[in-house]
Amino acid sequence: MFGGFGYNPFLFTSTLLLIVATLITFMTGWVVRKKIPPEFKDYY
Amino acid sequence: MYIFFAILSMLFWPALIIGIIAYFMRRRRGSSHPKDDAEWYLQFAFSREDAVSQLFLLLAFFFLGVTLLSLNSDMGDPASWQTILFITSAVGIVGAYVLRTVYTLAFSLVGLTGWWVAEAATWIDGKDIKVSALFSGCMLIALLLYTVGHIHEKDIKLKRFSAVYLVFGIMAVTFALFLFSTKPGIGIIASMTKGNSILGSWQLIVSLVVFSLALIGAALYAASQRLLSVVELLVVFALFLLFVSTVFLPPQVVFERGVRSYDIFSSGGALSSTGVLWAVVYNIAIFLELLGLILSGYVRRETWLVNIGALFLFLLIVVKYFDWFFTFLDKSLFFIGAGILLFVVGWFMERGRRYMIANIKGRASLTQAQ
Repeated sequence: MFGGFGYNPFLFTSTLLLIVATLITFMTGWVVRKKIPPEFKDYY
Repeated sequence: MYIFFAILSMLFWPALIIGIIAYFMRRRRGSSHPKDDAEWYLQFAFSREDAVSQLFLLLAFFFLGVTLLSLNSDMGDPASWQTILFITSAVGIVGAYVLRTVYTLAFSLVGLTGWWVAEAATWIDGKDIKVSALFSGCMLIALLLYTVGHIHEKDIKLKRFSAVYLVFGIMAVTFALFLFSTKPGIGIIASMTKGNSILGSWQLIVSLVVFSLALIGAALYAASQRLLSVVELLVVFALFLLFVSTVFLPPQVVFERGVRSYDIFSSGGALSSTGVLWAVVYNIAIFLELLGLILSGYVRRETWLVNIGALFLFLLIVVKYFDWFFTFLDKSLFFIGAGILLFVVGWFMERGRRYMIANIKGRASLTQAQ
């Protein structure tokens, strides 16, 4: 799929996995942050 | 890959040291509700959700850095790793302010400082400029962090950030003053004042001017808002002058007959009059700085400042005793003396510390009752 770029396709796949990891960890952090009890809202 | 590990190891030690310091600052375990805790802003997390979300956001920050590095290497390295570090740290700081994540802020600050140090090292290497410019820049950043930390104290939502800034600033300045108060440190003064003038690199001049202006502006603003007392302002300016003056120093000959010794316990390599002058200046500076830290904690009713100052002062007294008397006294006398010194100093400082903290808590409860 990424071979058309002329670079090693495996390298692009691993970068893609890293991007996915970044997004997943960020979104998990974001979602958990929304669940912080309202009594602590004054401190954020 | 090597660069990745270099960055990780660079971030690891500050995190570990800060963890230890934070442990000593708190001196107790467990967290309570911010409303019941006078020093709530020192809590690593208020709730389970807070801790988990901050950890995930920190992981996302690390993954972002690694992703950019990987992407960069796939594309044939169009950007240097310094640029990647800068971009990641800048994104981290913005993210930290938007999402109020303390952990990400701490690592981003280390990343940004590391970026400047790496860049400054290349500017220095190219033209053989005095390394004192690098040292001076780092210390200006540390003083700036300290001042910015106090500016953040006003806003309850940013109060936790102020502790991060203050810990970084205080740690860096204390470590530098301590290092230069010892014999190996004075040897470093000699080696870092060798080389060409800073005027050979416009990047270094611009960096130092920007840091100085930012520091002066931030300190004056903090003082005008009564977030920094007049004495603290004067101390910040005195340290500023001390650190900036090292940039313009001519090469220093700090040891007699050019003999240099990096061994802290050896008597070899006696200090020259210049070396003695620097030893006196930095020893007075570190003692005054630590006493000032304890007093500032007392005046501000911040027990963690008293604790951290007392811990550093205790360590300093022990190190100075070894430094000054190890070769001077007979060994048996030396260790008897060390035992007595540890006992007496420990006893007095613990008494003083408890007295101060009891006093602070007494005043705090009195204010609450009113």
